[in-house]
Amino acid sequence: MSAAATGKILRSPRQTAGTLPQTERAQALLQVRGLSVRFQTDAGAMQAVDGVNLDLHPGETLAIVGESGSGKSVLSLALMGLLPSIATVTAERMQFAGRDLRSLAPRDWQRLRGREMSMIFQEPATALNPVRSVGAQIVEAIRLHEKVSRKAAWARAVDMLRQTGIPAPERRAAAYPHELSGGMRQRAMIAMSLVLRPSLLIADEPTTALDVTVQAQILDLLRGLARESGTAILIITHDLGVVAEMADRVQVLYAGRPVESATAEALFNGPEHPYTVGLLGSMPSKGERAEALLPIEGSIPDLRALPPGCHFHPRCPFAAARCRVERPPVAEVRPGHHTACWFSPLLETLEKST
Amino acid sequence: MTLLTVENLVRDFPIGSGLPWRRETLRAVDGVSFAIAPGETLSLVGESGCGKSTVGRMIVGLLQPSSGSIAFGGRPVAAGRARARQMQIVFQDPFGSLNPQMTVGAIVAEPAVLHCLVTRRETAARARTLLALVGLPEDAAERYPHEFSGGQRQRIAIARALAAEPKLIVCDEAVSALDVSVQAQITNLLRDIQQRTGIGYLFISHDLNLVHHISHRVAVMYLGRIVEIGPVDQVFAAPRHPYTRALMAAAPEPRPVREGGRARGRAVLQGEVPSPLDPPSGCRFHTRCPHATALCGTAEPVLGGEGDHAVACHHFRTLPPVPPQRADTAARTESVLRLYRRAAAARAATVT
Repeated sequence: MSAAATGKILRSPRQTAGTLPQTERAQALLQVRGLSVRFQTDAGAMQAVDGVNLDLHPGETLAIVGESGSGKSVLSLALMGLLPSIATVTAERMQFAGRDLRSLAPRDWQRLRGREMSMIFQEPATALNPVRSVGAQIVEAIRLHEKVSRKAAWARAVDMLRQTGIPAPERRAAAYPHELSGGMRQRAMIAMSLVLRPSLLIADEPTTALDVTVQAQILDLLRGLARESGTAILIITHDLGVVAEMADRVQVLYAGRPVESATAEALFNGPEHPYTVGLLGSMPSKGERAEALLPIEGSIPDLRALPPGCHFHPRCPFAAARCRVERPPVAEVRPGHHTACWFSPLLETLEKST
Repeated sequence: MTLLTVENLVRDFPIGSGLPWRRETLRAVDGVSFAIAPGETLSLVGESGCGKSTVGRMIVGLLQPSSGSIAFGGRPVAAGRARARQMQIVFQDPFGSLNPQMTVGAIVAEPAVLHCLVTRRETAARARTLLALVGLPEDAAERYPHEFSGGQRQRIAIARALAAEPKLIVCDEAVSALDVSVQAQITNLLRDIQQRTGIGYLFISHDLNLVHHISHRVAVMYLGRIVEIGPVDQVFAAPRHPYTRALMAAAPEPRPVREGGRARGRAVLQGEVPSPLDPPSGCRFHTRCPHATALCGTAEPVLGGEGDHAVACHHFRTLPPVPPQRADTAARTESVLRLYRRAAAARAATVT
């Protein structure tokens, strides 16, 4: 978060925080209420994230689902305090491990990042420094936060590389990023981000650039390491297959707004928002050979010229007059299952009308 | 009748410092043969580095084969313009494959102009027809590529590929870079065009669910060789090669039924593709194969089998049967999807 962060309330979304039991509130590692991010660009103001609520407990995996332009990466950068100064971050509440992220000084951010929260990116080739060996980069991360000798740090780096399943880690630690394959680079990235045992790992499309076989290996690895160390994972993806395998809870974003939030089980067994339904329908299932895939017509709107009412209405096959003018509030359809749609509960409403 | 026949295609790349005694060759494609019929979609699947894109590039003439033959309509393909009229290619990255200084109309019409298919006066009309064919608005012709989203740019690239009225389009990961919802739009568009024009596709992809959905036949490549080829239903229902089975097991299921906990993890194929500079002896897959025996390390299996489903594996007859792949989506999700499909169809009908 930049110095521009004010903590001022832009608007007041539904207060769900008050309804949570006291114990659950105390335990949450990350708790966010009404997070909004606004960019001031030459072409006008742009609301990239609008009223997002998050709860993440230790050891839990939360998936943020959305397509490009849905604000999911901006959200993760806001949580890491990595947004440029043209961004204004506002939230009613932004609590991480007992600290208020809204009023954190840059120095405190630096202590937090890498040590207590870390991040892995989609393209490890651009996230790693090309002119330093991967071992040296891991050593740097360790010595930035802990007073240990170079030698001890190197031994830890090698050990961490071994845990990520890199063969011959003593040799590979001295390798430069370009000497490693994509899967190996992503393992090195994971080693670097987990070496200090952070309590939160943000994984932004960690497997999108990888082959399916390697993707399965990396997801296995992330799951295993998180289980061992109790690290909570915030995984950002557009791939519902990845969500199904990794996530305990899911938050679906569309054009910066939260449209559906539920446990992964509830989401796959009964999606509520038409956008989620569209996402589920647009991917061919295993063993399926339908006549035609079910695309979501049109494309995601320009964040500088968002449609009024429900942002999804121009692409929604169910859209009614009300959807074009009035923004649907986030409401709870079933316990723990929230959605922002005038048709909620979707199946019942649709069956009634036909 | 076949449209395209490739036989024993081989491509070597020189690797190394340029000093003659340190030069090595990387054999990216090592004896690939297949045929495509008019109106047919053949998919090439495999992990990165297996040579699938190299095959595509050799077919359209962007790379010269080191050896082997490519025949089109029964005759060896000519170089240059004549080939470009018959075959076109659509690339993965719609941001890098369109000239930013040309208007979309000029981009789309350029192949038609080059091949003298239109007079100067007809150019604009041809561009509009092509853009309409791929579902872009008429005013798109006067705009520039940067004004379009990724999905729309991929439509422009497809319109350009269609301009020369080719009989075959090589789609090299043509939808991989797109958002899932847009991916489905482009996939449906490719299928519609095929049904209308009878064009053939070589569809290069790593997305097995998508490949199953759109192709007629599928060829699986590993380290420069085809290890299995056959009709898509047969290959997916009863994959014979252990590598094909591993790829299918590794593909994620986007609509799983979840009962408590997480979806079942995928069967993970261990290790990575070996370096093509030094491919394993015998069967190239034996270093990662759960069924490998001593024979696999020494003797290379040949591609063969009954009918049109061929496999290159010593042991395919004795492998255990594969459990059916069909995922059963949750009942409630099915119902919602059905209603969504119906509403989407109704809406599409009122728009057109």
